[in-house]
Amino acid sequence: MGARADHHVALRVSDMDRAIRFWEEALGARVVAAPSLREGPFIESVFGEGTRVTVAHVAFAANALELWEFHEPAHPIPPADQAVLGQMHFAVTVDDVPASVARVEAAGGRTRFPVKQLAGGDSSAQFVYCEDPDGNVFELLSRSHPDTVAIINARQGT
Amino acid sequence: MDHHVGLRVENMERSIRFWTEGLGGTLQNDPVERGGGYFDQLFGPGSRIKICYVTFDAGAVELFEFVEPRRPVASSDQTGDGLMHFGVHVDDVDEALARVEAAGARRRLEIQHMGGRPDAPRFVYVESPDGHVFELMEADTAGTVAQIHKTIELLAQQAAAPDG
Repeated sequence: MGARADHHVALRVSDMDRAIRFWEEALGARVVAAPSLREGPFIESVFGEGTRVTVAHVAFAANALELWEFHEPAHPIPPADQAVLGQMHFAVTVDDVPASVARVEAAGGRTRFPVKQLAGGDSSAQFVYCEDPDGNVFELLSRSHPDTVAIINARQGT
Repeated sequence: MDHHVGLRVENMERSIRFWTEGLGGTLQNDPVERGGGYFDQLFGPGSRIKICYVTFDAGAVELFEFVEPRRPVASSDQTGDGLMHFGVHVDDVDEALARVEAAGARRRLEIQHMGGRPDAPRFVYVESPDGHVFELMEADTAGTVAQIHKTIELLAQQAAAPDG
């Protein structure tokens, strides 16, 4: 049916300017739709009565983030506990995981554990879980998705 | 940034059926139970999970069924969660919605036009059987961004217009 599941990932953020700076500096995102305040009947039909929210889009070499700072309702952003959340994380292919980690950390993000080697992959097949300043979790991998699947399938002997 | 989205699911077989039948995905590996090694660091000591990948024409979902710790999956709350939803570009929202609903999804709202403008491409928010929210959209990312610019421009014009 031609489903292309790389349209965008939507993240709730607590400070739009900080979030944009983070994604620009950490992963080289570029703003393609500047923050704008949305309110009124249409946005209320999607998110509920009284909703006021600032929205921006930042794009990468592939895929994009839709950043949402809700003014109303303004709930704190819960920690992204991987064993509790339904939507756990999203993943990003990068050329060099340690170099990307350095940029993420310089921009105000942090890693959840030290960089790991993908089980069954060679030493350059690396990944790590990171979080943005709001605690949203994303994964950095040095292998494309098809290559990651090939490593997994080779490991399972399929 | 199109490597995958990781989703926690309660029933792996049900979820594989949903993402393959509902959205036309391809199962890339049979679910395998994993634990120990780096999984103790990823998800806590003693965690055990079944994992598999389902790929689409672009992008993928990585499905995780936790055997340990086993907690219910809460239905996604768009104004409460951090990671709200992910977007899927489809050719025909009506057809895609019918397929995902037949596979066990439910819609979170009726089909809308972007920005509420009748001439704009359409979208709809739907949830998987576990309550993960994804958006079916009739425009690609660049096309959607163009629509957003149009919406912002119209909002600014309305704000500048004198009352009445």
